[in-house]
Amino acid sequence: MSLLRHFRKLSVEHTRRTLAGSASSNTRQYDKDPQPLFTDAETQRLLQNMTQLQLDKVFRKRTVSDNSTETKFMTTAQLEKEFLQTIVKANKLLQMPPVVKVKEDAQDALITKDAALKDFADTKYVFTDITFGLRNSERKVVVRDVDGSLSYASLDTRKRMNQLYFPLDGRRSYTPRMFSKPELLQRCLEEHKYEFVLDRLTVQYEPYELEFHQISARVFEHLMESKQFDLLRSTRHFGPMAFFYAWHRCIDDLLYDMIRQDYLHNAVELIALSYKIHQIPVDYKQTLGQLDALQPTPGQRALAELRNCLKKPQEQHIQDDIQAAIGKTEQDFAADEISLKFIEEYIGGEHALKKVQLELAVQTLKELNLEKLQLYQGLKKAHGVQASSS
Amino acid sequence: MSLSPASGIGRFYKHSAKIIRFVRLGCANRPFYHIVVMERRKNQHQPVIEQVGSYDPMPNESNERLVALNTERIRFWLGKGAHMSEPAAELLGISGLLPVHPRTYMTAWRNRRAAAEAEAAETETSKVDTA
Amino acid sequence: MLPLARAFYSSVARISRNNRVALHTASTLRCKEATVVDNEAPAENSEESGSDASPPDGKDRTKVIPVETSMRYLKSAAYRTTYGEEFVWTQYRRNHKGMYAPRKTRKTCVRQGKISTGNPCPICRDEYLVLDYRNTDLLKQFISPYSGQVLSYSKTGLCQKSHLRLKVAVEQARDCGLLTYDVPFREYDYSEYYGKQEEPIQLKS
Repeated sequence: MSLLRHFRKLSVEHTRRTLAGSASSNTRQYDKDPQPLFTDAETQRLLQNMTQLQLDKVFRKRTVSDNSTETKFMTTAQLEKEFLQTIVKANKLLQMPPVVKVKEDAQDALITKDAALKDFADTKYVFTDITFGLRNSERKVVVRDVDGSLSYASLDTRKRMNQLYFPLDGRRSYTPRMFSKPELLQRCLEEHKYEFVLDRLTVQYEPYELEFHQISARVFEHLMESKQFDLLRSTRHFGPMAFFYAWHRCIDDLLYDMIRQDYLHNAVELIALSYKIHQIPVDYKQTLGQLDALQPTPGQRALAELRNCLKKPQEQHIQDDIQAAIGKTEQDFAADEISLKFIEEYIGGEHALKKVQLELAVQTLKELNLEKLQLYQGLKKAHGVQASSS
Repeated sequence: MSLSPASGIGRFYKHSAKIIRFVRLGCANRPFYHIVVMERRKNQHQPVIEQVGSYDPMPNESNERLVALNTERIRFWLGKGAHMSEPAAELLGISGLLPVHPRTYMTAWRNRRAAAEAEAAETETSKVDTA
Repeated sequence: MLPLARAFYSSVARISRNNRVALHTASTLRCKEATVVDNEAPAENSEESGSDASPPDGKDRTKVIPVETSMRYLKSAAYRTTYGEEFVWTQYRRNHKGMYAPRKTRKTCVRQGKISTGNPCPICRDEYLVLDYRNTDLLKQFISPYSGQVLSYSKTGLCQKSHLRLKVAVEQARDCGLLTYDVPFREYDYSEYYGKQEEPIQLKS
């Protein structure tokens, strides 16, 4: 209780759009409803592929209230099942926050007008329906005003009542200072705490609220300048971030980062996404199909990584050793050929903005790949490994 | 005084008279009511059958009085023939679940009349001052 | 205490830290601190100038140290000499009768602007450790790396008042975003936001 006394001093601003100045006008907003394009199956697949499944990052050490561990003896079959369950759990943790348009208060909120009830009390009455089993979005919240009219509550009041009677873990009933004061948010972004800010945003605000859109846009724009995309890679926010860049035609920074880190498949997917969103008539499906045939999905890759732990050392072939040393397989080299062609087409086209930078990156990568290929072929020849016919 | 759980720990007798009414909790000069279904002839602080809501008569920071109603259960108990106390009935009338209680209309009318009289008295005094 | 004796005492304290000698650190290192830390108020603290009639009271806590000073202190050589690489509460031990310490620590170490106990708690004994939401280096020492919660007073040895101020400071720092923590995962029910839609293509596993 004494802790609560101290918190009376914190500002309790319940009105919407109380974000101080700078965020509102400068950040990019979605002009149309982004939801149909975002929920499209192909878009979701592209975004999921771009958000790679790095098990180390998804299952990183988190602070938990209960630190007890469990040790089990398992057969190989049970272990295999556990691996599949792990991939399912990882996908759950990578669930993307919805990208929907900003919801406005309904215009026809009035239920009845009753002039005979004017001045029946000196304050409003807010009635919340706490029926068990209802969703928070479907709960009825009505307000009887002092002038006697009964109307449905505004979105702001609804959120407050839902938080009061059915509190969400981690959500505060006041606006956290991090979100209400722009200088504190700026400080967080400068210290590169992007994942923390976005996680807190998903908990504090609903995805259809204006503040959610404004602050996440601010974060993505800052991220674009600082180019620390690796911090968000393999988190649930990477998908909405890539979608944001593709929508607002600023994929070049992310593309450059992907090319530099040799994620060419992801680079192709990002370009394909931007073609899809802006309905540019380039055929990307064929390239994507070829690449999908050659390279495994993130889920399959993670599963292979898990199964690797079970492999006995004498089962390792020379081929695997060479591939582990170089970091690429035969199929990777073939896929890179296709990807680079597609990326160069994009750079040559009219939609790329930072052509020089991207050209340089592609050039560097090509040289690197050539060296790796030569090394790979040399090693294979040296160890007498047969050329694989796949 | 300990609060009883929402599902209530009162003995349930099938044919007794039930009532939906307030139980005054809270502290001195700070009331807080639980809207509750219980045996009609018991004291308000006896174990209840079920809690179906709450009412905070003190206005909050946004100048609102908050009421929570478990409409599904209230409709169930009214369907089973529960009575209602007058304040509870008034509250449900204001909420729109039931028709507005005549007492609420009366209070509103009296408040309006009092406000009009006060305004008239004020204009009188200001006229006297200026004159 | 003469400067010579003070230097000797501090070195003795360093050697015998394992014997859990009570470190009234601010008083022992005041001579060296005067030049390094107290640039804001040189008049009161510098003994060399001899402006004070009486020697400074090591138990006096009326002077309010600004947070910036405290933050600089945590990075300074004086702090390093006193605490080394450990947390400020690691070497502290409560004094009590019998095997088991009382369940709660004392209510407060400071009464009417002065330390009113022997063996004050780790925060009260060093006046340059200021509990403030901006002083994240100090606050992090009291947060468990495994559970993310503020450590109990039974572990750290803080008096109740300091423990409460610590909790408030940590909560304020988390609110401002100066301290990160693991936000509870929010699972979305897509049907609430998208309406009823067909399932997107699941990743093949």
